[in-house]
Amino acid sequence: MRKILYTFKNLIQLDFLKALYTAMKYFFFRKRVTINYPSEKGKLSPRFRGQHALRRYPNGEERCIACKLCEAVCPAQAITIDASPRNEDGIRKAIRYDIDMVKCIYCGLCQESCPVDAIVEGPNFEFATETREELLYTKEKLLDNGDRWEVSLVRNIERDAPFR
Amino acid sequence: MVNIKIDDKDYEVEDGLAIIQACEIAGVEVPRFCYHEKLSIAGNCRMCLVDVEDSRGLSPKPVASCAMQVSEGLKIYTKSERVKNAQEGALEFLLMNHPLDCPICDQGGECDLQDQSMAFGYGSSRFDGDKRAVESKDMGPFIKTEMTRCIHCTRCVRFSSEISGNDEIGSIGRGHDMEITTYLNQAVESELSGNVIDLCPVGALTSKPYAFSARPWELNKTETIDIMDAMGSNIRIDSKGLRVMRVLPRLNEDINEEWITDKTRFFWDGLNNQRIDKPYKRVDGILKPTSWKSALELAKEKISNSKSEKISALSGDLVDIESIYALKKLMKNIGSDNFDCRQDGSRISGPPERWLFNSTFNGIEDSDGCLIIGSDIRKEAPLLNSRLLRKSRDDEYKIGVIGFNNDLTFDFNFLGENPSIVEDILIENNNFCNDLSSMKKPLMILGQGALIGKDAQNFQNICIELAYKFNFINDDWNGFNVLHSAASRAGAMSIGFFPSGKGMITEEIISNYNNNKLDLLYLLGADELNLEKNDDCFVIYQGHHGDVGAQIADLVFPAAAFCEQNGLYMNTEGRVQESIRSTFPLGEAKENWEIIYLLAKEMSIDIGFSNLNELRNQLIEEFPIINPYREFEPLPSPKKDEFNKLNGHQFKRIIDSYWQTNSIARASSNLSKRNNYIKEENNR
Amino acid sequence: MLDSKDRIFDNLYGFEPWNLDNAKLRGDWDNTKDILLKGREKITEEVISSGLRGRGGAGFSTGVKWTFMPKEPTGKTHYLVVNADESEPGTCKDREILRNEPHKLLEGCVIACAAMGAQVCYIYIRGEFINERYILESALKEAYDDGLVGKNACGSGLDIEIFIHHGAGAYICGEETALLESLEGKKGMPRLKPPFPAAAGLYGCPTTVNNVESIAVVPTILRRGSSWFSGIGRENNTGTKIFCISGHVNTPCNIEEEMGIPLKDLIEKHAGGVIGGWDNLLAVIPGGSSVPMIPKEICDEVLMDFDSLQAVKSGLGTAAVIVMDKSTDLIKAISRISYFYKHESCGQCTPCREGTGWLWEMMEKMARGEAKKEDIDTLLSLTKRIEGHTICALGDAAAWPIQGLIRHFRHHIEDRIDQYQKESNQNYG
Repeated sequence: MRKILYTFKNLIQLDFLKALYTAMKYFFFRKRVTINYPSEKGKLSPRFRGQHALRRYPNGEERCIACKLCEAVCPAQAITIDASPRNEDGIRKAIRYDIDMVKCIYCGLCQESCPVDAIVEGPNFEFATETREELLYTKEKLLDNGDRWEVSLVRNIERDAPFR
Repeated sequence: MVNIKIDDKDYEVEDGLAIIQACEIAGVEVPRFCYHEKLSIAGNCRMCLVDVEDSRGLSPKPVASCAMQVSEGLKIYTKSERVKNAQEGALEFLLMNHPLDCPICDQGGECDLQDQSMAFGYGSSRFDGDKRAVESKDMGPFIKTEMTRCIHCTRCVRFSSEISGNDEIGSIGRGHDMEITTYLNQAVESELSGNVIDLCPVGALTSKPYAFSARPWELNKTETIDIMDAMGSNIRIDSKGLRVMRVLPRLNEDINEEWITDKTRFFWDGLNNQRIDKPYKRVDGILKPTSWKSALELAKEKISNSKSEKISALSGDLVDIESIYALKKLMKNIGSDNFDCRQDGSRISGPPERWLFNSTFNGIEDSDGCLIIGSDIRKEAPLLNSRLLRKSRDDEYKIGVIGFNNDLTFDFNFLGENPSIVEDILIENNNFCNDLSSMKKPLMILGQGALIGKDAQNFQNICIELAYKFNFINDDWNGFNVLHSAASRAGAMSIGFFPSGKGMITEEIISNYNNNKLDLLYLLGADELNLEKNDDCFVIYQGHHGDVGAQIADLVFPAAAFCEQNGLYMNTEGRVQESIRSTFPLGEAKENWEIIYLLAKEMSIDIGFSNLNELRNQLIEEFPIINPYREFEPLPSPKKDEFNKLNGHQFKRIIDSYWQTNSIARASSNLSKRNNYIKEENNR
Repeated sequence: MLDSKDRIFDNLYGFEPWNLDNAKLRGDWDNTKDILLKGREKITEEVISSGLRGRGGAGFSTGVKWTFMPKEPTGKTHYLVVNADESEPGTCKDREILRNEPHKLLEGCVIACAAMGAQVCYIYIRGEFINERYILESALKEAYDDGLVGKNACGSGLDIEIFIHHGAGAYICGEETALLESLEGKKGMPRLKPPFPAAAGLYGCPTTVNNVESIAVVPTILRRGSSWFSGIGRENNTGTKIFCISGHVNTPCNIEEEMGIPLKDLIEKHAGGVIGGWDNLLAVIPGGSSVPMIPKEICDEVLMDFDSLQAVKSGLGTAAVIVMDKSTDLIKAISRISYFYKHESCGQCTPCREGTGWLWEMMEKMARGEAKKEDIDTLLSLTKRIEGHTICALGDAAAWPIQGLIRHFRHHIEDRIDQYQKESNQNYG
């Protein structure tokens, strides 16, 4: 009996038909997943951890207070900070904030540890460069990133806020 | 000894200890803010509450463990429910008005409040009102205040009245409005004021020069010693990369206890200013950079062309014993005996007991009276002054001062300015004699300022005679003390870096230099001489700062500062300690002993060592007193010697400006800011 | 009801002049020499057996306290310090003694000094008592002039000096060790105990601190005998006591009565009853602002003495009876008391410095109803975290009134919160 069933299955090529069904199902009824990068772009989670940025307050004041928590927590030791009292008012500010993007492993611990939401990992992942040196980000570069991406950074933080 | 139980475990501890100390010995941690071993008990933070049970049963309420002594059979519970509730309560109340601005606070990472909140706190606060804000105070150029963070433990207040002795910090207001402040917001003037930064358990008092510059976890910590004065305080140098970031005290009950002077604490920025980082030689009257090779060649040429008796060397106040020993060997090899370490012209000589602090600093605790001769002790050794202050709390403890009538923070009998008063006391023609004769273990402290001039030896002999006459020296007590103010002096004296018999002393070297009778002068970090440039004498300066010495030099060897090389120093007690390298020599600078070694090599002199270990072994072999690993033991009493009547002997002030006593301090902008701050306040 | 012959303070109301001549007519300074010559042990024994308990609030036996002083001379001066820094809200008994019976106090000082071997007595008067101080100073001068105080006081051969010190008006200086600090010229901040003042008090010398009333009754006790005094009142709560009745009564007054008189009798007979009748009574604070209040149900029965009030979780304190009728906003009243303690906290130890302010803020919220019901439990736990964790009793004193309020009138606070929420819903809903 078992042997008859086996022969029958072989005769009508059941496995082939199953595979054909699956293929056709995806071909006709499901949405396409492959996208045509870079002309097309995929959707990103608000928690996506891409290129770093240093944010500012709406009045233009840098958020970073050089508390060095990100420096301390960074598992790859990619961050270097020097702090100093600011000349005008003696407020604690970073005079140097470097991230070695070559070392960075994009773990996101820096943004988790930041008490003022200054360092964030933004949605940008297209920052490949031709030389290594360009990946050594300085404070100016990071602040520039922040200004450039502020709108989507704020939106991402807002969308993620309910889950924190 | 009493038997107690802590958390149901048996311990035997010394009688008279506070419960908190007993717990510490037992290894049970009791949280505290206001309690400090070296200060009086305030008992106001209420953090160290524990339950105690004695024969009468459990205490009705938890007791402050800092204020209660252990007694036989006492049972202590540090983790009971009631204690936990009390500790959580105290922390909740403390944090209620604490700003929680840890990310911008310099204390972050080494903060008692942070640590204890983590260990004993509740985790969240139920307080939802407005926090108190307190205006910050101006306490001068060293102490940065952020009074909102203050938790009113009053450690600083107690320090200022008990250790620094001038009651500068106090509290005003009552209850919720209590504030810690200085009188009328004045700057804190004490030489020990920086210690309140360490004492403050939170970030209310932090170091102004160090503000925001580093976090404690990123610093390299080197345990070493201080050379700003001759006490040899134990310090920890914290460095980051190649820079020294701050200096903190280390506990050493024999020397500095837990304190250091402000000069020690804040000199570090002087290590970055005015430094000599490459060899220089004078070309057309101007010092120009050169290479080591040509510098050494030039030195060799000049030394070989000079007559050996016209070559002389002077060592400075910050130099380690090894380099001085190396220089002595070099000079002996050249054939010159003209070397001296007594830059200020003091005439101490003879065996060590004639120029050391024989009673030791701990001996002050045993003493019952004090006679200070020719020493401005508050400037020469502020920590010693603080120990005397502590003794002077006792009404019976009489202190007599001959020489300088300065504010020493405690009351003393000023006997007069003239050295001849010592002669009066010797013939019992002075009011203080009655006090002296009633003392069993008095101290005599002779400053360097008393031992300068032609009659110094004679004066010292009179003092020794006086010491034997009254109880300063007897069979079981040696209270004859000479106080140094230069860190390398005692060490240099003990290896004999001064002419004995033949050879010129400092005064003769200087007069020969001024009278064009000197061919070559080798200055090993000697900066306190005030010489004019003299073109007839070739001056080689070896040192780390472009200070007075380098200005008159024709050839400058860049050397390492004390914290950039290992070296031995002997403090004024005769205690030998090692200074450990915390950063590296700047630029092309080399270690001091190495420069002398290279020079000897250049001149083809076999100096007998080629590395520091060999040098040190030789040194210790020749002078066993220098061995840092030897047991520190008291010296014999100084011997009486013949003396004559004083002939115009005068005391000399050796420290004019406390903040600028050496080349590092002079290069430090922290210290000069402090120096100017006093002047400005005086002018106001 | 106390017989008028058993009254100690005959001139409590100042109907007669306070001066020495009149005081002598009332029996003061009568044969003080004989009393002094009885010797230390006799006097102290007499006071102990009279059962006199300290009138300052804590109710510790006065005679026993005196025995804590060193028996033999220590080479140091021994001090008696009389605490006339009466600042407890609602209390005004010492004021009347200072005003109208200063010689009773001075005589008491002399006897107490003799009883504990003290040579010097300080009387620390509250800063606000200016007239009282003038009166006491004049009385002291009279006594000195008459040879009753000073060298060879009353001819007994003892040298007893009395000094009057004027405080600066801080409530905390009524705490015995804070008083000593203040007397020494420092900031009035309580000291840690031990050492107790009897070992190291004023200037580090053996010291006893007593309340004005405790000292002022001593001469009469010694004159009339301890059995007379102990015959008044209940066992362990003997003698007479000045009660200060204030608040919603028809005739507020100070009245000397026997210990253990029922509270109802005290108010009905001496203070003219509660305004609007006994049934209009809401609560009573029986011993000055720092003890918990008791509601009417308890007031019906309770006796006014140390042990009875302790049994109902309150205290006799200074016997300042504050009567509150149904028109009182209890929460607001306690909130005001909290403000008092916030204002008077010395700021030395943490729970009191920070806690009293927090309590006041929360009480203000409760008074407005602007709180959540869970906040009542928070408030209660806060008071528990202050109580017993401070150096002196001010922390306890700040915590107790609130505990009393919550114990007996929790529903009041909850109603207030409900009402507030209802109102705000109406306003915004």
